[in-house]
This record gives sequence, C-alpha cells and structure tokens, in this order.
Amino acid sequence: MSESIAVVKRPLITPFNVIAGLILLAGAGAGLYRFAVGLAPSTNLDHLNPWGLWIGFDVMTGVALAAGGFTISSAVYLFGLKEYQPLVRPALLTGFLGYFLVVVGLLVDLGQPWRLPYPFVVQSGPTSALFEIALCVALYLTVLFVEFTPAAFEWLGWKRWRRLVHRLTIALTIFGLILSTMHQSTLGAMYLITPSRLHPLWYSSHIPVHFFVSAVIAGLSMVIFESALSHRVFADQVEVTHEKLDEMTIGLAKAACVALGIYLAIKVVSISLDNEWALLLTPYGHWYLFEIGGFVVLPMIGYAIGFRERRTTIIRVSAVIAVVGIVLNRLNVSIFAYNWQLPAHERYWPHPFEIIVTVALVTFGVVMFKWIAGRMPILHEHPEYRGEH
Amino acid sequence: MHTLQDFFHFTKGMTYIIAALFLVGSIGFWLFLTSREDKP
Repeated sequence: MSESIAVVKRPLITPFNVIAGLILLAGAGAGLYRFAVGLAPSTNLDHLNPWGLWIGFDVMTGVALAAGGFTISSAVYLFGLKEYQPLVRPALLTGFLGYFLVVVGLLVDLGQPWRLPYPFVVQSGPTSALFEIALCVALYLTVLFVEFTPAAFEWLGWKRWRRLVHRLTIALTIFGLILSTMHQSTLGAMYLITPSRLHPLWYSSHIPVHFFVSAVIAGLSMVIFESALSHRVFADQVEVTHEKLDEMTIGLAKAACVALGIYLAIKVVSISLDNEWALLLTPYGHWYLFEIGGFVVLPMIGYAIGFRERRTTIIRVSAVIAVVGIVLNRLNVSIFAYNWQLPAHERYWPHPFEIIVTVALVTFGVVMFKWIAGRMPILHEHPEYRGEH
Repeated sequence: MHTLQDFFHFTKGMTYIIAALFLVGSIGFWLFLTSREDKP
C-alpha cells in the first residue's frame, strides 16, 4: 500500500456504523430467507405481477441513478470539459457500486439465479431487449470496474498496472458511453410489449427515449447531490475548494436544466401523439401531472434560477427533487401505473422482506462508497499522480 | 374523429403546433438562462 496516503484511524462504533450494521444484518437475514424458501413466501410477486420492487427500484432506478459515471466521464474525456475532472472518480465509483448492486438485486429477484449467464452461453436471443440489457450491463459493469481500478492501483502502489489502465481511458469512456446509450434506453424498450398493462400516460412508443433522457438527468443530478454530500462528509479528504465545487455545480445545473427541458418537451409531445389529453383529468392523470409538475418542471425552474442567480443551495435542492422524480418515474412505470386496470386486491404491493432487502442494498452501497472513498484517492489526487489525469 | 385518417390528422397537427411552440419557447428559455452568464 502506498505510504504517502495517511491512513486515518476512525472509531468503529459510531451511530452510522451501528445503524448500517443493523440494516445489513436484517437485509442478509431477509435475503437468506428468500433463498431458503423461494420467491412465493418471501415476496408479493406472482404471475400477474412478476416484476416488483427489486426490478422497479433496484434495477430500473439503480441503473438510472448510476448514469453519472458515463455522463461525467464523457463530458471530461470526450467533450474536453476538463474543469469537471475532480468529479470523475466519485461519479465512476458511484456508477460501479450502483451497477454492482443492480446485479446483486437481480440475483435476489431471479427465480433461478444460477441462470444469470444463460443469455451468453445457452440461449443468446439476440433480438431480445432483455438480452441486450444483460449484455450491456455485464460489459458496462466490467468497464466501470476497469475505469475505477486506477484509484485502487494508486492506493496499492501498483504503478505499472495503473499506467496500463490509464492509457485505456479514452477507449473505455467511448465504450462506456455506447453501452450506456444502448441499455439505458433498452430498459424503457422492455415496456414496449406492455401497452395493455402500462397506463397510457406512461406508455409510449418513444419510451426508450424517455428512459435515456431521464437517465442523463438522473446522472447529472446525482453528481450534484453526491458531490455536495461528499464535500461535507469527507471534508478532510476533499481537495477541491468550496468555490471550485460551486462553479462545477453551477455548470452541471445548466446541463441538467437543458436536459429537463428536452425531457418535458418529449413527454408533452408523447401525450399529443397518442391524443391522451382527456386522461389528464382522471385520478391517474392527476398523479401524472404531479410527477411532471413536481419533479420535472419544478427542478427545471430551480436549476434555471440557481444557474442564473448562481445560487448553489437552490441547485442542490433541485438536484434532490430531480433524483426523487426519477425514482418516482421508474416506480410509476414498473409498479404504480403497471397493471392499473386490475382490482385493488390483485395489485402488487412490496412484501416487507422486499423492502428490507432493497434498503439493505442501498445501505451496502453507501457503506462501500464510504469505505473506498475514505481510503483510496477518489475525492483527492494521489500526490504521486497529481495533474496526470 | 371517426377514421384513422382523422386521428392522425388531428394528433399530428397538434404535435406540430406543440413542437413549434417548444422550439420558439426554447429560444426564450435559453436567453433567460444565459442572459447573466457573461456578466461579472
């Protein structure tokens, strides 16, 4: 391990560690129970509702919120916006952990998890949207891992390996961008076969575009939120000054504002193309308007005002609202507006064990981020590699 | 609306108007967003 990085000794028993430990224990117990007794007793999934919280939140939302990795690395390495360089490693780490947890969530959700590699070795089904997602997620998880390794190699002092991976940066970024564009939209494409199950306000033949654009919003908003949080929690690690962070936040707000504007336009155009105006006056329409008004229009205005007035507090609040909005959108598509015509007793509601496993997975991601960022050069530059990125 | 022709005529017409409004609106929105950008 490199000697130039000081290892800060922290107490093991802290309120955060105790609470996180209890949640992880509960999650491990619920996970073990699910594998011991199967899906039927441990979840509320059935043939009418085969996809529940683990797909709706852990996979659909997890992939969208992990989009910061490809968004920021493309901005820095492909579009030359070098001023955002300090955000690349935290975004890539968040992306890697996010995708890793997507795969873990998928393993818990699959009735026969040992069949996860089947798309590659048994039945490829290359015309299937699910195959494309399996391929892209597997490849992108690998790409994110390789993109993250320079930080680990710097920490370990493995200079040759670090130099080798560093040379691949541009190629990996391009590959990651292609893979993300493909599977972020294909997650939406999976719902193209559900016109009779998904409420018409959320269903659209353009749903892949909705998913991709909203993933860009999620990625940018997560980076704004996470960088502000890291700056506070890891104040002793962060090298970027408050002024520099504010400048980056303001720049990201402009991009997120434009992305939200585009998203709003394509959502309205979708309603117009399918002539669904009358549905807006129904209870589901009110819920739809709540999603669009509260979590698309509101953060868009917040970002615009924050950027114009250079008010980072407004921008960070808008980022939180936008992130909650993406979570709500994915849950609406996969749970709340799905099977909307079924009577109430046949509708899906997550089993407590499903909720416990999901909360435990999110907690595991936060703990891993904290552990890695507290040791490796994620939020600061390694002294031996300063300015080499 | 009685025929598919009617449906597409109406929805496409509406969508073109909305798209044009968004394009015009985007200019105003961009000007609002960036009007103070170059000022110190």
